[in-house]
Amino acid sequence: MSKQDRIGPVRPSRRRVMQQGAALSAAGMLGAPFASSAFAQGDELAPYRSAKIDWKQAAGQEITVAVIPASYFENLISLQPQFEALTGVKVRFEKVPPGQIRQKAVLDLSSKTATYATHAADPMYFPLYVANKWVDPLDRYLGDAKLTDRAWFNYDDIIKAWREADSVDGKPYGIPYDGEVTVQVYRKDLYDAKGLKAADTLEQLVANAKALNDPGNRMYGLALRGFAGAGQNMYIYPSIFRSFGGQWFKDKVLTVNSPEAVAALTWYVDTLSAYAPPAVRNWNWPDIADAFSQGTVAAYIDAHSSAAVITNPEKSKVVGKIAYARWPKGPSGKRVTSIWNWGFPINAALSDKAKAATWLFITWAASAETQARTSWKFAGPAKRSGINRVSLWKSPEFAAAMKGAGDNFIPAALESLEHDTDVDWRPRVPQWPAIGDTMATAVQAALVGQKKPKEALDEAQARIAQIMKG
Amino acid sequence: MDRHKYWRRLVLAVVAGVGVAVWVFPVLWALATSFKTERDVLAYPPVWLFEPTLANYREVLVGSSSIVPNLWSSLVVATLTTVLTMLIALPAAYALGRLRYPAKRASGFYVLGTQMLPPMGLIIPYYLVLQKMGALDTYAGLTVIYLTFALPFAIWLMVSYFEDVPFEMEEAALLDRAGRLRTLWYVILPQVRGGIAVTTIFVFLNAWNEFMFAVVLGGNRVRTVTVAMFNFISVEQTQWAKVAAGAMLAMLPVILIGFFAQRHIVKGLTVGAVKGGGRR
Amino acid sequence: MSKGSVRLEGIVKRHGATTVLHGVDLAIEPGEFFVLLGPSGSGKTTTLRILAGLEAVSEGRVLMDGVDVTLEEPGERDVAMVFQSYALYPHMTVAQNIGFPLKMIGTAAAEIRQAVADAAAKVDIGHLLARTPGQLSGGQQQRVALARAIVRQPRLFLLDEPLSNLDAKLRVETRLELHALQRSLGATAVYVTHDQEEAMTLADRIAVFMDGRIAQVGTPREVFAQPRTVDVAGFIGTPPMNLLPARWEAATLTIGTDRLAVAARTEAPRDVTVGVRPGDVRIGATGLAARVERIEDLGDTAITSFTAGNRLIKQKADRAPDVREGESVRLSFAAEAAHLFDRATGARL
Repeated sequence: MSKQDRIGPVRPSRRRVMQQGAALSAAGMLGAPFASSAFAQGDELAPYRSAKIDWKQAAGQEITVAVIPASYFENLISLQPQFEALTGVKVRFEKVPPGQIRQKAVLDLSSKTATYATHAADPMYFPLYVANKWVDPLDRYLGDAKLTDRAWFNYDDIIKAWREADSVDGKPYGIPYDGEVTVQVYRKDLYDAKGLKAADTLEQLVANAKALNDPGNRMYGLALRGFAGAGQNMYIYPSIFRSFGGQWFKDKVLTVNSPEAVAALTWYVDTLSAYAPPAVRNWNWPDIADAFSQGTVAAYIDAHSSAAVITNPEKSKVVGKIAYARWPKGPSGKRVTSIWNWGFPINAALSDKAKAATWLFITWAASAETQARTSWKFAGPAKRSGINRVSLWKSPEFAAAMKGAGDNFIPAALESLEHDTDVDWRPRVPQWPAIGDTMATAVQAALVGQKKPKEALDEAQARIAQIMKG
Repeated sequence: MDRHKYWRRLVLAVVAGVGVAVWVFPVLWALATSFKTERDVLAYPPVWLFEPTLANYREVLVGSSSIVPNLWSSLVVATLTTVLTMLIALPAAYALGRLRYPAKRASGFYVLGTQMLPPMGLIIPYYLVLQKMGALDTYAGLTVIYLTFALPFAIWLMVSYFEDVPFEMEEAALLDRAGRLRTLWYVILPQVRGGIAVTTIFVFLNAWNEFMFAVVLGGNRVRTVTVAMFNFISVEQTQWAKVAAGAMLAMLPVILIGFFAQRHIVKGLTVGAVKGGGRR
Repeated sequence: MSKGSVRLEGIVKRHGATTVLHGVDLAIEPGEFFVLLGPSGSGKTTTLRILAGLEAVSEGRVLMDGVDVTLEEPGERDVAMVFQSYALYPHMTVAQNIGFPLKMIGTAAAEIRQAVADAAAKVDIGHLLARTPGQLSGGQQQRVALARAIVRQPRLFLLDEPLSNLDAKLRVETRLELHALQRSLGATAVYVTHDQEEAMTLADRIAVFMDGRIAQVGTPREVFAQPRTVDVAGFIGTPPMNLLPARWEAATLTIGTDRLAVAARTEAPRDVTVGVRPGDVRIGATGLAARVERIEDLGDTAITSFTAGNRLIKQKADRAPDVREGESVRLSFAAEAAHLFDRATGARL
C-alpha cells in the first residue's frame, strides 16, 4: 500500500524524475530497509546499468501489473523503488486472488481496457491470448537492440521448459518470472526406518505408501491433490496420464478417454482411496503441505516450492526430516513433471510508449540480477525457490539459500525441469479454460467414486468434442 | 401436567442449546485461532491451552499486508450501497405496497429472479458497462453494481412491511393534515422500523460480504476486505491465524450493527401487535 | 351553529365497471347528528369516505358550508374522522395521538398540551395520556380516537361504525355518551352504521342506503313508521317488518285464502306487498291461519315465530303469548297497521 505512494502525491516532471532517480532510490532505501539492507551503500542500480540500453526511454509512463498475493511477487514488489529509480516508470501492483486473476485478465484483454500492462499469466492461457491477438509477440522486443541488450538479458538462460510453455508456435509471448516443478517429497526418517528408498516407479510409490500407511495412528502413506480445478487435480493428473504413455492428441483430435487415460485415472483413484487421507479429494496443495508439516502424511508429489511451507519452523514439525526426488516413472518408462510458471506478457492494447515501459519492467523482473535479489539476496525470510534461470539454479549462492529445504532439493527439481517435461504436458489449445474445468470435474467425479474412471472420461470426451467444435 | 411441561421445556432448551452451539462454535474457534501462532493452529490434537499472541492482529492491522485500508473500502462501499438503497427503496416500496397493479406478482418473481441469477453470468456485462463508463475500480462503479441487486431485494422486502400498515392509519394521518410526506415520516415509517432495520442490515451485510464483483470490478483503489483476505490465503500457504484475525476484524462492524439494530427489530415487532383490521 | 352544513349533489362513484353509488343527493344541516344506515355494500361507507375526501367522486359535487370541496384534499376540509379500527398511531403515546392533528398545523406545544388535556377530559381518559395504544382496552382506544377527532374542533365529524368493535354492553353505554358529546360540541356528525338500533337512538335524521342509492331520508320515527320502500321496511325494526304478498281490492287484502280489511282503498285491484310490524301482529280467533314455530322469551319482550303457508311471520310482545310451539292459531292486525307497497316497484302506496 505505502510502497507505491513513496514517490509522493506530487507528480514531478519527467526531467526531475530523472534527476531525482538516485535520491529516490535512497529514499526507497530508508523506507524499505528490508529490500535494500542487503546492498552496499554504493550504486545498487549498477548491475542493471551495465546493460546497453536506455533504461529511461519510457520515463514518465505509468503501468499497472496484476499479480497474485504470494511471497515471490511480494519480494518483487518490495524492489519497486529500485525499478522506478532505474527507469522513471511508475508501477502500480494489483494483487488479485489466484482464483480470479485469469478471469480478470481475460476481461481486461478482451475488452481492450488496457488496465493491466502485464499480469502474472497462466502458461495454459497463451494459446487463447494469441488466437485473439490480445498479447504482443515478444521476439520483436527481444530482437530490438534499443529495448534489449541480448547478452545482458540472456533470454536463453531462462529455463527452457518454461520458455516453451510461454511460447506459441515457437514465438515467445510471455517471459517466465517464477515457476515450479512437481517432485516427490517424502519423510526421509520414516523411509529410512523401514529401509525404503524414494520411488523410481509408480509401483514403488504405491509400495512405499502401503508400507507406511497406518491411519489408526494418523499416518497416511501418500497424498496428491484431489480438489477439482484446472490448477488443482488437473495439475497432477496430466503427469500421471503422460507417464502412462498417454498422448493428448490422436490424429489431431484431442482425446481424453484413451485406454492409457483410463488406466492413469484408475491408478489415481485407487492409490488415493487406499493410502491417502480421506479428505484428500477436496485438498489443494496447501492442505497437503499442512498435513505433511504436522507429520500425518509420509509422502506427496507436488510443487518443489512447497518446501517453503514444510520447512518453516514456525509451522512445521518435520523440519530436517525431508527429502526430494523426481517423479517416479510410469508404466511407459517416462517421468513427467509440470511446467508451471508465472510469465509476463505485454497487453496488445497498450500505447507504444507503455509497451516499452512494460517491456522494461518485464526484463527487469526476469533479469538474473532481480531474480537473485528476490531470492538469496532477499533480506526477508521468504527466499524464492522458483527462480527462472539455469545459471542461478546452479549457483552456490542458491544452493546455500536452499540448504534448509532438505536432501536432494535442487538436483531433484532441476533435473525434473531439464529432463522430465515438455510443452505438451497439458493440451495447449485456446479452449483450455473450458477443457481444464471439464477434465477437473471428471477427475473429481472418479476420485469421489461418483463415476467409474472410464465413464467419467467418456463423458468428458463428449463434452470436450463439443467445446472444440464450438 | 406440570411434569409434562417441564420435560417439554427441557427438550426445547436442549434443542436451542445445540442450535446455538452449532452456530457459535465456528465463531469461537476462529476467535481462538486468531490468538494462536500458526503452529498452534495446525496442532493435532487441537491445543486448548495456548499462549495467546497478538501478533496476528498486529500483522493484519499495521503489518505489511494491513487490511485497515480494505476495511475502509468495504465500509465506504457497503455504507454507500446501504444508504442509497434505503433512500430509494423506502419510497418505492411504500408506493408499491399501496398500489394495486396487475404485474405485482410478476414483479415479485422478477426480484426473486435477480437474487437467483448466478452472478457469474452478469459479471462480464457489468465489467464492460463500467469499463465504458470509466468506472472500474471506483466506489461509484461498485456501488452502482451493488444497487442492481440490493435495490430490488430491499424493495421487495419492504413492500411486505408497508402492506402490513393499515390503510386507515394513513388515512387518519391525512385527515389530521399531515400530508403525504409527513404521513410517511411520522406515521408509516415508525411502524416499519423493524423492517427497515432488517432490510438495512441485510443490504449492508450483502455488500460487506460480497466478493465476486468486488474482486473483478474493484482494483487497487477499491479493494474490499473480502478480497484483501486473500493476502493470507495465497497459492503458497494459508495463514489461518491471520485469516482468523482478519475475519474477526471484518465481523466487528457487522456485530456492532446487529447489536444496535436488535433493539429496533424487537421494538418493531412488538409495535406491530396493535394493528387494527384495516381495509384490504 | 351555522358551521358544518354539508351537501352532496348527484354523487356517482364507480370502481371500474361497477357502480357503487348511483347519484346520491343529501343535505345535512349544521349541528345535526346524521346517520347513514344500510346493509353492507349499500354505499354508506363510500359516501362517508367521499365526505372525508379519502375517495374521489366519479360525478357530482361535495359542498361544505356552501363551498365546493369536491377536489380538496382530506386535510383541507376541516373534518375529523373516527375509524372503525380507530387507526391510532401505535408508536405514539395517547397524548401524542390526540395532539397529532394540532402538531401538524403547527400549534405551540403548550397549547397542544392544554387542548389534549381538555379533549381527554371530555372522554374520561385523562389518566391514560402517558400510555401507548397497545396498553389500552378496546373501549379506551375508542375514546382516544374520539379525543383525537374532537381536539381541533372541526366543522364536521365523520364516524365509521365506531362502536362495532366494542362488546354489547359497552356499546350501549358509549352510544349515550357519544350522543351527549356531540350535543355538547354542537358540531355536525355523520355516522355510518349497519346497526339500526344505533341509528334509531342516535340520529336526528337517518339516510337509509340500499344498493348504492338513498332509499329514504327522515327522522328515526319517520323511517320506522313510514318506510318509503319495501326494502327499507324490511331493513328497519327488530325483528324487521313482516312482508307478505297480497292482493288488494277496494279495502280488502287477500293473503293466500284469508281476507283482511285495511284502512286504505284502491280504485283498481292490484298486487301488493303488505307489511306489518311484529309489534302489530295479534293472535286471535280470526285472521291468517298459522302454526307456532318457536317462542323466544327475552323476559321483557318475547318474539314468536309462526309459519303461514310457506311464509315466516314474527310477532313481538311484552310477554310470551299463551300458546305452545306447534299449536295452530290465527293472526291478525289492525287495519291501520298495514303498510302497503307496490309489488312491482316496492314503493309505498
